Amino acid sequence: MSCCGSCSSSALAIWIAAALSASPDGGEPPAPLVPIDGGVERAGRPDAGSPRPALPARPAIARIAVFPPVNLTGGAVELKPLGNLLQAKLAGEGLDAVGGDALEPFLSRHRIRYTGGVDREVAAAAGSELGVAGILVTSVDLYQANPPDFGASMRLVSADRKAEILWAGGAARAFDDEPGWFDLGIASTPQLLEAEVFARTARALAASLSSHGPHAMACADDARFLPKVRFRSAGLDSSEYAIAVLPFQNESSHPDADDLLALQFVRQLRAIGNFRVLEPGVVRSELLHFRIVMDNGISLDTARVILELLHADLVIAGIVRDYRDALLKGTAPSVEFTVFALERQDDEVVWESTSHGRGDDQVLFFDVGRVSTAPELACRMVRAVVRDIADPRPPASRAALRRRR
Amino acid sequence: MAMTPRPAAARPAIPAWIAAALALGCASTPATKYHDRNMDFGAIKTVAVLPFVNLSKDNLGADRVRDVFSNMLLASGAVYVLPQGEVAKGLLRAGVAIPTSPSKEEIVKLGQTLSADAVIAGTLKEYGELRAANTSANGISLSVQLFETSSGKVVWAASTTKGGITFVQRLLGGGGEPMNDVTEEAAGELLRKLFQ
Repeated sequence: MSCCGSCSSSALAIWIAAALSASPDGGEPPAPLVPIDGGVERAGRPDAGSPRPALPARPAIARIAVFPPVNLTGGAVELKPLGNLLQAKLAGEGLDAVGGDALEPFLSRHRIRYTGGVDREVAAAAGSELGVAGILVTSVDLYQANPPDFGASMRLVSADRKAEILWAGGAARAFDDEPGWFDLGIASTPQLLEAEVFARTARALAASLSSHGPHAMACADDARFLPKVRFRSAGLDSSEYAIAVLPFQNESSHPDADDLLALQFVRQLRAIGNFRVLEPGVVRSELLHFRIVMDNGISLDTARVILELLHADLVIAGIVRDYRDALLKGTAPSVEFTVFALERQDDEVVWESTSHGRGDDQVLFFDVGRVSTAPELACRMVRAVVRDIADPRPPASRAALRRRR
Repeated sequence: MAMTPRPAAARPAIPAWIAAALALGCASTPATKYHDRNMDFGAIKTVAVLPFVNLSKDNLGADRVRDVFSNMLLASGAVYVLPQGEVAKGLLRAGVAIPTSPSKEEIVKLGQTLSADAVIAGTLKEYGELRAANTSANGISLSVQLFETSSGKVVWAASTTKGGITFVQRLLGGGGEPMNDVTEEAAGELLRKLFQ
């Protein structure tokens, strides 16, 4: 037991806290967490201590390739155990996941070093050679050993020439997100959080593939994190747009904040539903192929080229000015970014907004409403922007409508 | 010996130091905006916001303020603001030597390159935490100029200072408003000065 040396005394505490807490997905209450080798498992289910067989209610739905996770934490993370853990969680949900050593020959044959995205060639090759229906691309967004924090995001890309995003999800947890009574729910090791985050995302993916769940894991709507300044052109309506999310300019101290925020946009645009979001790997491949470099932001010429190449209607880009995790106990994460959307038809900016927020915005008493991780904060802020883009009505009328309901 | 009376005018009714204090106290605040009366501002449809001169200690302060200002200008709905990448490309193509303070000829050329009716340049004089004794607060001092691209003339200029340490903060302490709020307040005031 790798983790139990330090947490054997707290195993009972974790068991009780997990039993008291409700399911984060709003479904059936989860079984308590019990530390095992390489992470934690839900007890109370068949064979809790060993790799779980496919649940009878949710049979194997599809065969998917699980690409090795990429590290976007800005620090050092051991990725291989995380990949293995994710694969185990997917298998536990009844998905036939091909990953780890089984995937290595394919990756080396096609000389794939970057696994943070999938271009059309790789997607088609995976479909034909591995016999998979989709490729799961994973990034580790947050990792801290002490105090433990963990976050990951992932998306399932179709294994064909289209390379479409079929599903997008992610979650992030801080050690004190659900302290429970007498702080018994505080996680003492990152392994506990890793297992929980992967279990939650694997559950959501399996639900989506079995047509019981949404196309993406959306985070909570939070009025605190609406854009502070926004411009919406009359030309932007509620029709179905094909959107390419370009890499953001990074002016923050976090080395991967640009990718993290771009991925949040991909996920939330997918979650809203009336957009067709292009796979970032496809966008990246086209940018590299045509040697398009955007040092000082995107120009209209560049946007025009990208939109033509990708057959997209809108291109979204922006600048991240601040992306800070709450690295110390008692501090709050902060995120600040500007995002704009350029439209192909008129070559004009049709959306521009600036958002900034802290995890403790409008938190007055007992940390009620506090957002503890930067990925979760960014997720809520991006969701507010995307909902605004998707809905042509002004925010005031939307608020009035909600009040009437 | 005949005494000549001292003329009354020579004796000041109010002591000089009081008069000086009153004069200083009642002096109007210096004008912080300029509007060219002959300019038809309604003709300006497209604006390019150039990078601001940064005189503050924060290396990224000018970029942040430019971003907020151009975003608020666009959000006002009065004009279309060109994307920053497009402006950067235009500056390169027009061969502007110092992007933060272009010459008259460069502004005309830039206007033609970008198809912009006006160009805005600015100077960030103060940005960040200001300290006095034991108190600190965020503050910003910013001035901007609007150039018409057909002639390269300044048609509007304004400056603003927001935030800083107030009497209450000196008395009770506290860090003042967040920097983002102060920046938005300053940009909002500049836009009010532009449109009024």
